[in-house]
Amino acid sequence: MMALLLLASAAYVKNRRAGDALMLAGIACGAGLLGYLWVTLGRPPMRTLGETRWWYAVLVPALGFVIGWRFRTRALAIPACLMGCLFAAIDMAHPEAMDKTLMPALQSPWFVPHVVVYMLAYSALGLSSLLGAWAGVQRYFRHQPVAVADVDLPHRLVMVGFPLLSCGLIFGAFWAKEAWGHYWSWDPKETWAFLTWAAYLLYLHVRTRHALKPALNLALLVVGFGVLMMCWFGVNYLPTARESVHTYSQ
Amino acid sequence: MEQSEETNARRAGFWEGSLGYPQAVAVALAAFAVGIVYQWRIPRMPQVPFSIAAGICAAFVVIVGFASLRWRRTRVMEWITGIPFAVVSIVGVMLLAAVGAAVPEATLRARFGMQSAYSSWPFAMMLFVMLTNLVGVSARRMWPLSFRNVRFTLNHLGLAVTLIGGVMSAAGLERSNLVLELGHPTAMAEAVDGKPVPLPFQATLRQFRLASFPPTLALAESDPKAPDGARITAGEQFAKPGLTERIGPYSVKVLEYLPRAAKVGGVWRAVNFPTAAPAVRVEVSDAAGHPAAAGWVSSGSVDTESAFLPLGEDRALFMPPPRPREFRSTVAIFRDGRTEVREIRVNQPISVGPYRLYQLSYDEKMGAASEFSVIEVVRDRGLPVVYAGLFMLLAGAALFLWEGAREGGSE
Repeated sequence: MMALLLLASAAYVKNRRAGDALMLAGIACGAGLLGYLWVTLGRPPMRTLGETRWWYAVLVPALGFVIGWRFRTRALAIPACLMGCLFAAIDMAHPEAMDKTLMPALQSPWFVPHVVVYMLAYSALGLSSLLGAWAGVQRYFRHQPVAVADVDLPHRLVMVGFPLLSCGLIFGAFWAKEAWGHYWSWDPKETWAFLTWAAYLLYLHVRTRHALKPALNLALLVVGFGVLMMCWFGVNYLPTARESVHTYSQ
Repeated sequence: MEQSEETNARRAGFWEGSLGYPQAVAVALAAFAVGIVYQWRIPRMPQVPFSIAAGICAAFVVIVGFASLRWRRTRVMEWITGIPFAVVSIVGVMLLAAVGAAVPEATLRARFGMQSAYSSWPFAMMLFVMLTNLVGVSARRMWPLSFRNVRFTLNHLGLAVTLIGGVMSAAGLERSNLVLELGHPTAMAEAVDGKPVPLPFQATLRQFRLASFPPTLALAESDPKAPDGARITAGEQFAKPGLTERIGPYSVKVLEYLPRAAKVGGVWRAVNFPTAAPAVRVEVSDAAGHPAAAGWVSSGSVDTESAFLPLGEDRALFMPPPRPREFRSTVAIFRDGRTEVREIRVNQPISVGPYRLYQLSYDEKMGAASEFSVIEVVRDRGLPVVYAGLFMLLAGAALFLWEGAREGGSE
């Protein structure tokens, strides 16, 4: 998968069709890997951080391809391939034990939709921030101000990612009600999920009023992704992590 | 634009010119200050009855909604329902939520006497500021309602309804733990603070069942740098006869697997009592394929000692306690002169009148032989309001996604 995605990102520079074909092959390989894990583990491979990273490594290129096709742009292809490779590489460098156990609280019909919707949202929002940051860096080195057009595609990705993030949060609330008796407990993971949602909510409000301040919009996108990463990985390293019921890694 | 707003404000007095971010920040800071004073004077938020909380919420919605419509063209109402006010309230709520997310509750309790950052007065005041904006702007957009405003209204009103439902939930939530012992009827639960809570039904635990996953093996290596002084390499495969698995540098072959075993006269034998432990007989080879050790490994249980296999001076093969696959309680509920036998499992609560009963825990030391089961009893009168808000938000998200996915879709 990694090799195909790397080849795809190289091919996109010269030949779009070859890039498309290689990217689709890479995504198919990744989907095959997820299917293989699902079958061999006998449970959805979505329990640990490492498992969700594999989903991210597959969904980022997949979403990049679909949105690129939908909006007739190739700007997403190379960043999506490289981001997918990066997350696959992290998983390869730090392999996690993947045992077959699934704690009773995770045995719920909400498990798969909750995680898949979140991973799709994270993919769209991650791509959005990557594109935004890349545009900002390019402008900086060219000594140019950030242009309004630089925010167009990142903003489109937020328009896809934010409602998915809302759905993930709400599915989580429904699930928590069935599993733990209350839809919201201000558990550290839940709180960071709320903060991530609020960070993108803030971006959308600022964007509505200050669409002509692209640097501010891009800065908020990068901050939003920082909060998202904190929610996904960073929360495990906070002193409050011990209070969380959402830690399923070994 | 903001610069001219600020200049105007300076010229005409802080509150007399056009209202924007500086004034919104001032309001948020004032709300925070009021919250701090309340927190200092009344550290524990008083618990108000559900009906009063619902009445206050309804009055709040009516007053803010009416004011927003009645004075919709005034600069104050445009500002309260505008984006600067929304942005500042979002930032305020985020900052206070971040404090709760980063600082453990025990620290907040010890240093500031707070039960939690989210039940503190400053947080409540910031939510009040946010809700004022949300309810006001929802009323403005709802009346007159046009198709163009449906998405906006669903998202804003949905969030407002969810938050108001949350406030009502906080007032009307009854949560208690019902400790059911096998064969002993009880109608008395225990609240979080230890106070007894009488229930309008009686429950008796008829049976408690726990099923565990088959055990896995793991390698422990002495490592002074590791948090517990040992580095653990976990095996991934469930133990079964004939299984060969690489764990760290070793190849481990399972020769025999006894799901329920005990050491009888120095020999591991299959037994049939619920507190027995799983055990496996293994053969371990090192990286070069040379035999390293052989013998029995067991997680042990309350009745059975654990067994591990030493591999040199600083390594050992051991069996972590098997993880529970599911646990369930069969409970007889006596209510209104009738007895009903129901089963409660994790993720599958049951309803008894207005209460929901959740499988919470059991005697983890005894495992499958646990003689009691802990059931959480929950009654949440604010839940219908919260769910109404969440469904509105879901509908709003669907419209958002649809518009976002449209080529040239509007913001």
